Amino acid sequence: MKFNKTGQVLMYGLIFGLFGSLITYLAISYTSGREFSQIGQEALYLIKASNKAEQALFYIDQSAKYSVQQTIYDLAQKGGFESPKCGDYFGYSLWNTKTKKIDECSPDYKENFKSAFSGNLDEYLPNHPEVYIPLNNYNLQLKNQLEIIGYAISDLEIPIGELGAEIEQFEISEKDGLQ
Amino acid sequence: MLNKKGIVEDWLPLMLLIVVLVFLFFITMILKIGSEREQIELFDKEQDKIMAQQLLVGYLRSPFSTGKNLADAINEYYLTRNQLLLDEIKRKTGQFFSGSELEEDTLSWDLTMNLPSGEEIEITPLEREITPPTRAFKIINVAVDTPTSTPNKIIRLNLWVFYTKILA
Repeated sequence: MKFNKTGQVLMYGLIFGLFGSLITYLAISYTSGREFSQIGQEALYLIKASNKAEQALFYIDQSAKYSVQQTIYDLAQKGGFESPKCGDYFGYSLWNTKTKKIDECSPDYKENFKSAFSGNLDEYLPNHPEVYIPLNNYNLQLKNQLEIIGYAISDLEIPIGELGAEIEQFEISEKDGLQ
Repeated sequence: MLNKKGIVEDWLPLMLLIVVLVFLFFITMILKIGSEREQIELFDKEQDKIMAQQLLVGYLRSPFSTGKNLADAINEYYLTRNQLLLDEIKRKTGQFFSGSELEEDTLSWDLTMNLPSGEEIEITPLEREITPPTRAFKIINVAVDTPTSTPNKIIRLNLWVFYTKILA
């Protein structure tokens, strides 16, 4: 004996219903499933970003160190001036002239240093390969004899990126093993 | 009443469908578990990478001599190519990393510097290179850039961390 007509309709309805729900389940799990992050994912992104910031700060610190050396050298070459107040004589900056006394022409070391240092530092900053470091971004303060403090005007912007892009994983065969 | 054969024939398509559905459900579950495991592995590697990067920055900031850190020493080597200085850098490198998390039986490391001229110079101390035969199953590479006295030239330090198994 076979199912009657109502029975057949119910049977096919059940089959289609089950298939439909399966397809819906698969579609939902593959499309919206990724919207919810893995536990700890956001924290890892943040730590990674802070790590990148740490690297950028290290780069800035080192650049500042070399810029100081370069600035001292540059100023020494130009008699303490970035650009001389009372002109120059065959490339030598003048500290006094016939008409102007030494207190009118002598260089303001601190101001000249700050200005030349900023210029030198700005030559380094755009060369960081990963982080954009803004130029002319530091208010400088000179303390004691060799202490230079730079207060940043604007913050560094570190993008919070995707994971795993730079990871390499492969097996080294026994033959090529690390010896 | 239907006979036994009749009942089986009537319910056969439905039973087949249920079998197919259960099979599909299991496949989906296995795929999901696989991708979750992959994610966890990726996370582990990222954490290791973060650790290695912090270590490398700490290494570059560590003191080399009075008023000079290791990054300065590396820059000086780039300018002078003094072999004695390189030997001293290698010694300090060994000293630094031997006290770090990388000094374990199942870990090995390698440090190189890429000079702006394109040269790659090994800074791993020689005694580190003699290890028992091992098999690396995971490798992590992190790089940190340090400036030189010439503004547009950069030295890149590459730290390779090998997770190893010692071969019997």
